Amino acid sequence: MAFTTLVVAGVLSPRILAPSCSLPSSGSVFFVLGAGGGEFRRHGPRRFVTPLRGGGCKGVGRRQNCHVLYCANEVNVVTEDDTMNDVADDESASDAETEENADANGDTVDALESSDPDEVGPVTWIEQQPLPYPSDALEPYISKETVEQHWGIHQHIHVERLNGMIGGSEWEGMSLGQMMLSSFNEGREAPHPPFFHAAQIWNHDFYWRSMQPGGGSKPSERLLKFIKRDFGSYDGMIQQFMDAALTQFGSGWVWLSYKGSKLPHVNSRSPIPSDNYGRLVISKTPNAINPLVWGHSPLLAIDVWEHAYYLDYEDRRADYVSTFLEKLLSWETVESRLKKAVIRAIERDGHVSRKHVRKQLLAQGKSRIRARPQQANENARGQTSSQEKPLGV
Amino acid sequence: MAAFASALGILPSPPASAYPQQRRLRSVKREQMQGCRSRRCSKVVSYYGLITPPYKLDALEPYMSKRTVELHWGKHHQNYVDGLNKQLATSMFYGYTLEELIKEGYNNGNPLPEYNNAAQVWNHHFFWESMQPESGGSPEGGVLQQIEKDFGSFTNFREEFICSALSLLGSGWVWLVLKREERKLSVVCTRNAISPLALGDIPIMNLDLWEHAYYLDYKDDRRMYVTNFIDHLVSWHTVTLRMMRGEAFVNLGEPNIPVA
Repeated sequence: MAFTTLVVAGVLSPRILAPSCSLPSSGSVFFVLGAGGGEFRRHGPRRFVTPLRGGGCKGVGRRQNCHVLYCANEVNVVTEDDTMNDVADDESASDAETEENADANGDTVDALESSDPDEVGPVTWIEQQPLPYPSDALEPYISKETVEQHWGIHQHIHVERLNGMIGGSEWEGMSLGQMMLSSFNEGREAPHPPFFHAAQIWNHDFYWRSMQPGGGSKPSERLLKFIKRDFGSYDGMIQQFMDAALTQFGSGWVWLSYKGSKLPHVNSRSPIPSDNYGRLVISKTPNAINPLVWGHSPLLAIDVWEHAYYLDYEDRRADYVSTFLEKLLSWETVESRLKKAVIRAIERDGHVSRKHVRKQLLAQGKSRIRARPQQANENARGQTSSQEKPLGV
Repeated sequence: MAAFASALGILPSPPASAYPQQRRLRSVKREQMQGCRSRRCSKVVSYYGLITPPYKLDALEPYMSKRTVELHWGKHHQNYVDGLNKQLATSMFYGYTLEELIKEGYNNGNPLPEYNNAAQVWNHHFFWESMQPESGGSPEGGVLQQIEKDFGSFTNFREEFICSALSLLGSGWVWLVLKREERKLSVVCTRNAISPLALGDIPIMNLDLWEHAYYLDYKDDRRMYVTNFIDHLVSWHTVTLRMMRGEAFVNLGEPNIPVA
């Protein structure tokens, strides 16, 4: 069942979810390896492991074929050979749209990267995004002191460290999302040093934008439908979210994200096309990992590092999480992110459900001048799997 | 009683293989327990209790505030103990000592569910005892000699300890351990609840780098926290005692002859 998207005649406008998505003015030359603009398929030439037949990974018996690794923290990390092309695809596609698109959240895409190569001295390759609300806007749930400490000092330390680390390295000049994904090192070994700081900056930016003063009401009908389908009920989702947050041992994050396949494992792809509709999943990640590195599209994040709640709630993490869910969470942001996530999944996977195709055909059919009504009906009924319809025939 | 004593770490707890009949005794106890339920007789149960730190809760001021110690010991440490007891009630590890729980629960890097709580109980107990009000500074005697032998000088050790603590990303602990194979002191950091016991070494002193340990007092200034710990809080008397015990297991006097 496809999320109902508004298909603009002409170019779909994909948005990558990295908050900092402007590329340096020198152009997107970095990772356009065979991404040939547009028609990128997941099972491209770079895949070294043949995908399993019959519905994804089945567990330990298939260890040698299955590239799912189990870390001690019970997070299934899947190596993705094509993460880089993924990002490149997003980057090259979004490059054309950067000028005309205004972010639905009112995020300013500018001022995210001062990538002036002529600048000498301490260069700020990456800056953190400004808070979308004043620092006391989240009172009394999250105090001004916490926000100023968390955003102003803690996140700023990550920015400083990152900027100090990447000068002269291969990550210099990349956007934040690109840097994060490329330094992740695919989960097999420890990530490269910039990953931690880049990911924490990204995660925190995402977290601040997941909240709004006076948020926390129920999600919209469309989102509720998604939630009911994937979690049984809204309360079921809240319960699962709370469980994940309370059982995350050590520092980490809890995410609600949209993944491109309905199978429950982290990054499973089913060879049955009808299985590949998106579903919402809740995942908890240690330290700085985020679901973007697994190919999910995060929709909402909550920081369960202790620094996020210790000044206000001391050790009562349950109170913090339930307050976040009831009073601070911005469902409008979640919904807009979901829209973008669906578009991104469609672009990336080339999968369009039948309902989506039908809508497209109808839209095209309505806009055509009908010389002969019979032909129009035939064409509308004939559900070809190809999206392309020769116009004017 | 043996469980408590081992939890205190005062009596040396022999390796599990030394007393093979202990396991059998324990399972006999469990059977008796289950058998006794239908009759009226005293049940033998084993559970863990929380031990108070060897100083008052406000004794570590101004380097660690009373509120921090109240929360850290009274809530976090207590929750770990309660969680452990709840888990053990229905687990195959019921009746194991803390050190056994750590060694077996670690499971060579893939920790079992009981590991985290057990290790945190042990680590925190070790941490409270590693501190002492108005202590710190530099050690004396044998410990100082050993540090100078293994790190070059006490200043080197102090710098290495602080740098190690700052390089840890996320939650974890930083330890001064006595390594068994290398037969020397060394500074290690571990993440989350990993303990050098599980890695086979003898811990001598530790510092909690989870944010709950310092956030109320120092917020993000971890460097100040570690510096204050080393300069004012670490209890070298306890370190000496632990070194003495450690020497029973590691022969520090033996010359370290490099291979080839």
